[in-house]
Amino acid sequence: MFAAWGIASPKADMGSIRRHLLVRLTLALAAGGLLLGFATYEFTRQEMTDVFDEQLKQLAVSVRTHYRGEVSSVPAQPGTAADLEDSGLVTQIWTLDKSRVFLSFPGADIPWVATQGYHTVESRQGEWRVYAERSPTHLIQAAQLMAARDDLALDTAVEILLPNLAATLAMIALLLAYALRRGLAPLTQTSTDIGQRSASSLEPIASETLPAELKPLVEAINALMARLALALSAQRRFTADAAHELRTPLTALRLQVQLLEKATDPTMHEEAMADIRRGLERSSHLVDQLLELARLAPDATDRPSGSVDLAQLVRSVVADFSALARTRQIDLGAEVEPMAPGFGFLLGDGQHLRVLLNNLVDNALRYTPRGGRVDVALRATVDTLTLDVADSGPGIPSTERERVFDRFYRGTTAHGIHGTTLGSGLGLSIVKEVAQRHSARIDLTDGIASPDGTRGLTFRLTFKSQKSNFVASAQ
Amino acid sequence: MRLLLVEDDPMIGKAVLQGLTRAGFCVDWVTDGRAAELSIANNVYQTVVLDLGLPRQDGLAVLSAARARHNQVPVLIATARDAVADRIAGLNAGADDYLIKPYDLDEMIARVRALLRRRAGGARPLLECGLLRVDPVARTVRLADQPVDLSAREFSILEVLMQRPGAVLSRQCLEDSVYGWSSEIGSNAIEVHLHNLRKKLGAERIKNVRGVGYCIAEG
Repeated sequence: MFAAWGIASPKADMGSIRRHLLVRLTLALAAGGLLLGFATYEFTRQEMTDVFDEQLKQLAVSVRTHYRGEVSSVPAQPGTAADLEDSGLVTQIWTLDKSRVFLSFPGADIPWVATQGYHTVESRQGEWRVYAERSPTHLIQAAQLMAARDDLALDTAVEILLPNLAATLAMIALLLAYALRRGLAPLTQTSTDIGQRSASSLEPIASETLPAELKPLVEAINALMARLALALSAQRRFTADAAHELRTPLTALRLQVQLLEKATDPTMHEEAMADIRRGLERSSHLVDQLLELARLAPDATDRPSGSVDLAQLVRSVVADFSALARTRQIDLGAEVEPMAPGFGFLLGDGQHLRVLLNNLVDNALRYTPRGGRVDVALRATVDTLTLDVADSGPGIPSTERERVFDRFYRGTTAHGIHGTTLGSGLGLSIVKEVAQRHSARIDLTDGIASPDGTRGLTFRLTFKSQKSNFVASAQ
Repeated sequence: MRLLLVEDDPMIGKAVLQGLTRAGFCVDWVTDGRAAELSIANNVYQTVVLDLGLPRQDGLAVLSAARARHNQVPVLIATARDAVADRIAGLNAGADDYLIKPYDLDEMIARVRALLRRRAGGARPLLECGLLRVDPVARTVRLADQPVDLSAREFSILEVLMQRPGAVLSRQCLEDSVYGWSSEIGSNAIEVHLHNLRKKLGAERIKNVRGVGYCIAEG
């Protein structure tokens, strides 16, 4: 029984709730039944004591009435061992000078007790219940072994209880099984409901009619499914966009390969090979950016955030791009205002912020013509941190500035200023995604004006000075 | 045959331009919707290959605008928009054919030829007139079953004339059909080519209507 209760320990495998409930309830009821049986036995014994006592008295009175001085007139016959076993009833007649005249069972040893009435006495055979009846000449004793009485009481109790108890327990087990099945039906129904769903059907499970125990569970599942549906549709949209966008570089590659096949002289062959190389570079750049964006997807596991030294990050990214800027003859520089200790630190994801800055600088270098200029500036005010990436490129008309963050947007002047890899059209979506994660605002304004009349473009990221965003010290 | 290629992706554009040029077409390439609209309005192209996702003006809008001005030029849409709804919208807007990226260069050229054929009113791949037989795919000419050796320009001029036997085409019209923006045209280049053609095919096959232009003699 303790083993059965032991299953309740939370670490153990729960198995079937129904089976466990059935086993435990049956055991509890069986224990109750045993207690009831014992009570019945005790009660029966008490009740039977009175009946047996009365029987003893009547036996003694009846012997006195019939006894005329001869043993033959005693109604009781000499008993056998079986009699003693069975009812344990013995009669004994004494004369008043303590000489025994009659003993119904020769081996019985019932001591002389002369007082009229009931007695409980001890002898070799055990405890006796004795009724003593006095006549003017004789003492008549009717006695019964207590052990025999108990046996009788037990027999009676068992006789009454056993068939009833068995039938009751069987009935209870059946009713319990039925009740449990009915009681757990909502659980079965819910699991069938969930089981029948395909991977794509994420509609909520009806929870209005469910019992109170199940409702929170189903509602939690529904909330999870709603989040899943959102993530799934975002993922689908992303995949569709990505597949659509991969077509462009793939189309170019396919055409370039066909041209290579048709190339008839070495110059054409060389040119076709160069085109294919650029096409491949562009495709792998697009795939890299897609992966970067997928890692930033809304439901990707949140990376641990820490304190990021934005000033250090700006210097490091500018240094990384300096070689590329030199080959394109672009003046790339960082302007990090001297800041109070602790400023320039941001609570965020350093890796993501680096990706953001890489994309902004890469973008600026891509669209800035030879001899142009790109500035990366970090400034702090009391409650904000401002990161500017300004270029002297052609700029974007204010009417189009809204659209630049759309996935796969490429501006009207988006191709090949430097005859290098084309942009994937994803860089700025990545920037937007990272900015949103850091609750930063993005503004597009005019950048560095150049002598030929273009206005350039500035991406300005403003990090708010929420308590959670700023870290008080450098640690 | 002079074609207009409208494609904003520089790599695809360059490859298609090269492919079509090698197939003997004279191709002008524009990269945005506005430029496409202006170029189509010039009315000098035999076929337009049109991408849909274009900067400044969507390809479908370009097409609809051209059709609204009763421009009949055959249009082949070549786009990454592959949904059935997109294809239906494209054809309903007035496209003659619809090709989905990534496409095969040879298929695209074959489709352009098919458009040109249909435009000339024939389903046969060969252009025929009397004893003269022109194969635009193989770029060969046979006169009374004997091969005739023509230069690329001569062939192009003959091809244009053979599209509509009997129709008189002006010198300007022939120039527009044969030379692209980047070609350098001598003042009497067309006349020189026509002179050579008449020498190779026989003067009676290409008629000169003085002050109007040239045509292929029927029959």
